[in-house]
Amino acid sequence: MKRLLIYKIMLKKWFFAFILAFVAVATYSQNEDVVYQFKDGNVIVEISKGEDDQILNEFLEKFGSSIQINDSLQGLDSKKITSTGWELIYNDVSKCVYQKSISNLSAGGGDGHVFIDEENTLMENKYNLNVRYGVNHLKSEKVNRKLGDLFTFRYYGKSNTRSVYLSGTFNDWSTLATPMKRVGGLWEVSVKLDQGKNLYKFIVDGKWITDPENKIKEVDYDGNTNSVYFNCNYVFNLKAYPKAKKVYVAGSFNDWRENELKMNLIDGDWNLPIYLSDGIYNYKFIVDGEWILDPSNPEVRPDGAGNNNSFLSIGEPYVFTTTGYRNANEIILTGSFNNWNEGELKLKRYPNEWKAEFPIKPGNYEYKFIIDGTWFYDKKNPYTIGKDDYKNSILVVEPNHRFILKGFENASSVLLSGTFNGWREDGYTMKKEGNNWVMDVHLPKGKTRYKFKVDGKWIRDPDNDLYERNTYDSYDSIIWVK
Amino acid sequence: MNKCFYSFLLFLFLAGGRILASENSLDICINSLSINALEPTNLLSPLVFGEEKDTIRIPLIRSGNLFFIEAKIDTLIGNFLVDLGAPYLVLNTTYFRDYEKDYSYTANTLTTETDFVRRAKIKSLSFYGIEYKNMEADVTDLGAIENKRGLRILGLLGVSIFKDFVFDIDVKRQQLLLYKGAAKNLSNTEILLEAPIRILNNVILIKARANDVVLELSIDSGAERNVLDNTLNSSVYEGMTIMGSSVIRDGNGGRSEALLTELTKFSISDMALEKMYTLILNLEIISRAYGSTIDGMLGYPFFATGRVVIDFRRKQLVIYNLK
Repeated sequence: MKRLLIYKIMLKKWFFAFILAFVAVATYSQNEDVVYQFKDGNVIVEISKGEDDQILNEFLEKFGSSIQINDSLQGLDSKKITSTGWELIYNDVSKCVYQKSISNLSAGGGDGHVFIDEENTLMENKYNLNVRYGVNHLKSEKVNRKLGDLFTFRYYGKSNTRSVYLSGTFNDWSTLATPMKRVGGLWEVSVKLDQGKNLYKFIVDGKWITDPENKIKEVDYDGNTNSVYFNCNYVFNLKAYPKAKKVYVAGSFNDWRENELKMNLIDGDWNLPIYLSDGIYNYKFIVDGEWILDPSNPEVRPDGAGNNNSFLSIGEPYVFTTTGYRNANEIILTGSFNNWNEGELKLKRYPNEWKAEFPIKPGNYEYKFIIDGTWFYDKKNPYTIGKDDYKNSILVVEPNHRFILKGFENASSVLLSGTFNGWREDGYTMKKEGNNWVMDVHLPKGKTRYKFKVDGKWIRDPDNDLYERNTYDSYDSIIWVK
Repeated sequence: MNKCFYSFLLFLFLAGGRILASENSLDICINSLSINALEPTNLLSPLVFGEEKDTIRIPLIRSGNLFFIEAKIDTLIGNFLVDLGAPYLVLNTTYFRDYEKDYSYTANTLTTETDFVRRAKIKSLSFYGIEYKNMEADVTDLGAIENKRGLRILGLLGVSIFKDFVFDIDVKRQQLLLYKGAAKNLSNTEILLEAPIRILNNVILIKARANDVVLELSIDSGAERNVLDNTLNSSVYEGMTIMGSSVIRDGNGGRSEALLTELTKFSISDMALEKMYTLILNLEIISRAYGSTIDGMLGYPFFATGRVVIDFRRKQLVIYNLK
């Protein structure tokens, strides 16, 4: 049993070690100014110095912390052996050459089990789901169809097909959660899709297949080919021109590519269901080569170059209000949602409040007011981050989780920090509500890790049974958001 | 360099450190193994049959170059890494903390950290009609994998879970076939490799040759990259192309160096394995951990060469050409 135990401990150590290895190798091997070779049992590294010695400095910083960079550059000792085993064997104004016996590669030290993950390689963008627009290309709308919030996937099975499952981004690629039901010659299931882009596959008798009825396929980060279905939220419609041969729509959403989005003639109308992410867009129709405004859309805006475009806004604008500041002449709202733009969002004065409407995605943002030229945090908002001049207020758009810390009613301050705010040391200040400390936050889909900081001391959530060891020899609490 | 490539490094030692457990560590209990290949059970979902009645076809969930099966432990369903580098079942502490028994170890460890190693008794592990009852499993923290993959991971399925079957994995098609009897006849498919394997303490070992030096490597589906030790005969490394290097740091200031290389003049039996990315590392600590030296590990690049069929009973590995 002893050996087993040791091995398990090493497993942990090595695992974290390789997270760091990932970072370092990714940095180095993309650099053609560092050339390696094996020779006589040695690793030989030739490093171009370049104009600013950056490449060499990076190498020395990484592999030879004990090497004095200036010494190396001046070639003080061509036989110098560093404490890390790298030997400088050549040095001139353009390059350095180091060597080390391969058998001397170091194997770590100490009993360290605390490793810091410096690289974020979360697969959040693996599927490129965060797109601006998308349209579907189904072979037949009769096969896959949308009814209300539910979308029905259908698959033509063979007579001897035994089981069909649906797996995709909407069910975390579960191979078991969504069995399809045989209905005559079809297998079908209705599911609620995520807004926008969804990826999926069928699992037919244990085999993964893309949807034969769907022409849109996409290769993901891992090299898997998946079917793509956009849960559409808008339909472009052109009622005139039933005799036109070809009608396209183009706009700011697709960078005005004119031959990309072909509309379909259905019962005399030209239609194109489309998914558009929240935002504002300009567009026009192209009828047999002629660019026209949307005759059914009265919203027309100039493009600044002497032309007009039809205008479209998707999504409900967020309404921001605050009260007070009666003596202020001007209040500008600025924050992480608009890259701290200092003039874009002016609050409009109303009899009892200041207000602005603007598009913003769900999330957690920092903001401040610029009141008559001076920056202030929002003193009416109990949720802040940072201190003194660096204190910002927190705006949470579409919160989906309430953090509650119980049993610390005598604490003077509780901060909340986690993956959702970059593990900020000066996390979100929580609000005291009765005997509890609370804060509503928007959490992304998937895994969230977090901790509380009670009067300066980090603790995991005592009421959450899900937690894991972190790289600081303590524990993080965990929430999974579906 | 393709950025995707570097992600392969990430989980290299997830299983790498697990090979070659000593004999007295193999106390996992499988009191019963029932293969309900004829009728669907209510354990998970209907069985997925292959072309033959004793064949179980399992769709694999891919994340990076790791492959997962949805399985059920008692009442909990979730993703388990198919990990031939692990000798047996390993569970993620996060979800099995309540299962932990007082099996902590304190003596003669490399560190005083005993928290990583716990044992749990489970009533049932089941997937696709296969059920194991009354097992013991190690419980360790797999949170770092989750955090890198964004996937909820309940545990690792090691060799002991599969060794009563012929194990047939096709990573390209994300498919695992388990045969209760003999493997499906693939007589029309080109054989790339047919080689004997050795099973030692639920670790799969295979002989390889690098520059005429014979090595014994483990087969490890939980490793995203091949690994060679840095203390092999120096001729092993001659002719290899070094793609890059790195230093690994731990929180206590420990430093490890690693070289990223492309294999050349490397073969198993008659199959040349050229141009496969491989890390060269000092495996001293791991070797010390299980009291035996190892030459390296064959991970995802090896499995990606074709359809890999491992017959535990006949102690044979065959790779068929994927067309």
